[in-house]
Amino acid sequence: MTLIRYDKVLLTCRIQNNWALMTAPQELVGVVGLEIHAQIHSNTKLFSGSQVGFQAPPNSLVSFFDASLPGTLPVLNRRCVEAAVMTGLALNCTINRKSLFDRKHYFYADLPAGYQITQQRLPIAVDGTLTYSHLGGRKRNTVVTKSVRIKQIQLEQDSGKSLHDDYRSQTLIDLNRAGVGLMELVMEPDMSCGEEAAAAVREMQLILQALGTCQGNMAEGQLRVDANVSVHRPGDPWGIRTEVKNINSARNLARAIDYEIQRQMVVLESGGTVQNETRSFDGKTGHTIPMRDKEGLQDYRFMPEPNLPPLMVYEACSTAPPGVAPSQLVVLEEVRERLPELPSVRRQRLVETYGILPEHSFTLVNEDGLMDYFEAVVRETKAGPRKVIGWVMNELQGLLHQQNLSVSQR
Amino acid sequence: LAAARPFRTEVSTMIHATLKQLSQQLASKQISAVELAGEYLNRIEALNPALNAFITVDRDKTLAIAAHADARRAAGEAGLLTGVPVAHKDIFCQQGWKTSCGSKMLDSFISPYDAHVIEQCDAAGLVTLGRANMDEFAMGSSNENSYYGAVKNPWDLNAIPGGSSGGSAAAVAARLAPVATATDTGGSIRQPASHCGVTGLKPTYGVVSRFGMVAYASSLDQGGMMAQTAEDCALMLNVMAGFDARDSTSLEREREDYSRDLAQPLAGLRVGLPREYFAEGLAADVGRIIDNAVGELKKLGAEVVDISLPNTQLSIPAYYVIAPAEASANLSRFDGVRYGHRASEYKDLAEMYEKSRAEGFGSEVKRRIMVGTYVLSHGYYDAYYLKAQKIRRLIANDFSAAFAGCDVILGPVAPTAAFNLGEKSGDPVQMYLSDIYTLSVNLAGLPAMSVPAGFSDNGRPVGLQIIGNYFSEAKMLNVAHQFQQLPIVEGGKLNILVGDQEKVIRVTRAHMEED
Repeated sequence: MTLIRYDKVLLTCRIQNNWALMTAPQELVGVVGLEIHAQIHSNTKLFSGSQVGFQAPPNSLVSFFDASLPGTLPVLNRRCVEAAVMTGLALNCTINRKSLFDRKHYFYADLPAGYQITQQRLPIAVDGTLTYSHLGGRKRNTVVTKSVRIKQIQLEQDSGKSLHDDYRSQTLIDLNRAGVGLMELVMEPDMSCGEEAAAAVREMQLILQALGTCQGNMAEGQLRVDANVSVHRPGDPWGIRTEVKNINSARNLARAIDYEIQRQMVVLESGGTVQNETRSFDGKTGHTIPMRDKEGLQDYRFMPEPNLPPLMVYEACSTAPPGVAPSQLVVLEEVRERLPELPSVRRQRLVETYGILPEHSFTLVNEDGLMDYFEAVVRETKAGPRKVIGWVMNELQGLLHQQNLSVSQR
Repeated sequence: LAAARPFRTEVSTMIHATLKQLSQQLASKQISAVELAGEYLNRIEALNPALNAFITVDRDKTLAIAAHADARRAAGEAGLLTGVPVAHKDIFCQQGWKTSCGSKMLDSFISPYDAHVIEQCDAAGLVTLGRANMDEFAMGSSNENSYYGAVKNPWDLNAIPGGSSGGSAAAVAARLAPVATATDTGGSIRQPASHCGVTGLKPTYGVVSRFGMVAYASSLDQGGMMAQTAEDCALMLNVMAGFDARDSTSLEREREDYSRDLAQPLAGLRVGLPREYFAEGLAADVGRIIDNAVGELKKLGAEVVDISLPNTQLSIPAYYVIAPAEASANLSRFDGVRYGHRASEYKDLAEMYEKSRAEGFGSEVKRRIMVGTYVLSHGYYDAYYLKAQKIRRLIANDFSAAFAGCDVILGPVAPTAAFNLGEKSGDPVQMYLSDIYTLSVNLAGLPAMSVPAGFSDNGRPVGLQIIGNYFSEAKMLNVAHQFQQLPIVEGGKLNILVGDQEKVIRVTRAHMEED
């Protein structure tokens, strides 16, 4: 039963993708949106001068502001603004020249102020597109290009970490992560299955890594992905959606989404209704399970952040207000100039320059350092690129895999 | 009253000295900072039990700071105010001192850092005498809301001193400190200054950094001071004002000497009198005093302009929506997790929060947190908070329109002189209504002052409010200073201790005369 259903999910995904909807109009299809929290790769936190670091001793990277001592105030980190702007430009977003900060209130021990500073009303970037590709077709060698709309990118604070010590009935709070800058990237529900979502996230990781704005490691929590999943019949209004959390890899993202779509289909086809709830992904079983309704019908009582004036970014130095030090300005023109070559452009260039197959260009770009290595080999040996690719794909990859090394490790 | 240590005769007149005079005495080595601090500490020891103006006094610490000031002077590094004593409202975080904000919630909080205001005062060589009492978390107009007990008005121990900076005002009025820092969110400098017969100033929003100033309502709070004279306030503003990158609402402007225009003649000054400030609700004796004061200024050359601030009445609901909303957010951090009061018994996190906050906060604070939470809640935000912010814009527009036709605006600070302790504490709304003349100023972000103008029918001080346009502190101080040079017209009596003897002092404007 499970196996058949899983294939059916993939089948409906492909039906929707490859053929017109007239083929199977009564089939339930999945609708998937993503909320991605990307930790900004910066030296210091979003609103305070404490260092951003991982695996530091607990509570060693905490300033008075991070601990929400009375009288402390936020000061915006320019690097974080640049990172958000750069990411927005790379994703073809409209950068809002003026954006605003808000407070989102809830009480929890790892949220020292009792509120998170975020951008709910008017975020820094809106209306972008992420173009991603995955290998489709029967032999998985056809490059299928899709795009998903980016609704918005907003700057916000990360929370601290709670470690529950059930043995001693206590909870330990580590605030090292409290106040670290995040970009929340909201993707519209333009995807229909786990494979698409995973491909989109992988592409996002590559883009963020190329930009240097986020290191993108899901296992280390640098990139956290929550999926919004619902099912419906094409043409019908959208179904009730659930939010799926606790996903620590692109692969698990695909598994979680496909399980959830299947689960919802089963619920609906047996006459039940899907609950609007938050569910947690269990990596061992591959299931999603309801979470304790901590956030249920939370009222966050959003309020404008009175300690921060509106964030202004400028198109060019000439449009910036006179007399302001460059260190106090973020200028779009300058950020655009610094945009590096994006993965999609890179892949295109490899195909055009070396005449290699598109699916090989994916491998080269996906693996850190492999593209540079490939190009170096071609240059040095003056061998035919296709020959080098063949060697890289088979011999080199095999060797690395055997020794459990990555290219960058040499 | 406990017998105070006897004062040296020549020093007793120091008690009435202004900052300027103290500065001169210190500079000419007639007195040392240690001696001066000692005299004030003696007075505090003798008089504070009756007034409760101070929450924390630490004699040894103060004398050590004073000794350091003397050392700086000996090394030739003394500034204008080096060695001058100051009382700090217990809302400014001060390293090594309990910073309680008048609340049980922070009774155990020893601040690990200094507020910008404290840093500036320390750099100027001011000597901390102690931490002044206040309404809890700056919420109140009578200083009856302090965990550490009410402050008494030195002019009449049955009267409130005003709030929330009641301790600062009482300390300066009773000559327990020559100057005190304070904060004003809806009138908390001006109203206690008025009720205690001292001069107080709230600057334009953004002029004094809020870094380290525990937040009540972030878009309304401003730090300021109280002293005996406008000139003293100008000297203190020079110390406190200035850009601070740690406060994102702090304004970067060219440095000003706020005392530069004190001596300017007032001929041609256009004084606006808002008709809404002289309407029903204003006590007759207060109205008379303000009219007399305006008359005095006319003799100095001022021209009176009739103006209107039509949205004055709306300032009360607008303020009492916005301020509690921001307060409910700002006080969310007080949960007992990292510092401050934590309940002793609880079964889980939720209960820990509930108990710690229930035990740590007083009733007025809880009231405002609940109001603030309500107005921000889903479905009510537009009707209350958003609406209030729109009204705020209208109020600011009223002032802009008025200032097109006048240089300063004058009026009363409060509808009556100080009421009795306990008189309004049972009816919070009655208390809120008495803020009618001061709230608009904070909503608009304007600067304003209170200067002693006379005494009510029952002998309690009444202040004149001066409201200036944005960044016109020097002009306001000029008007206040000229007013304070006028000869004595009315008098009042203050019973204070000098040495072992009670002396009755007539205090009018800036002059002190012993009977």
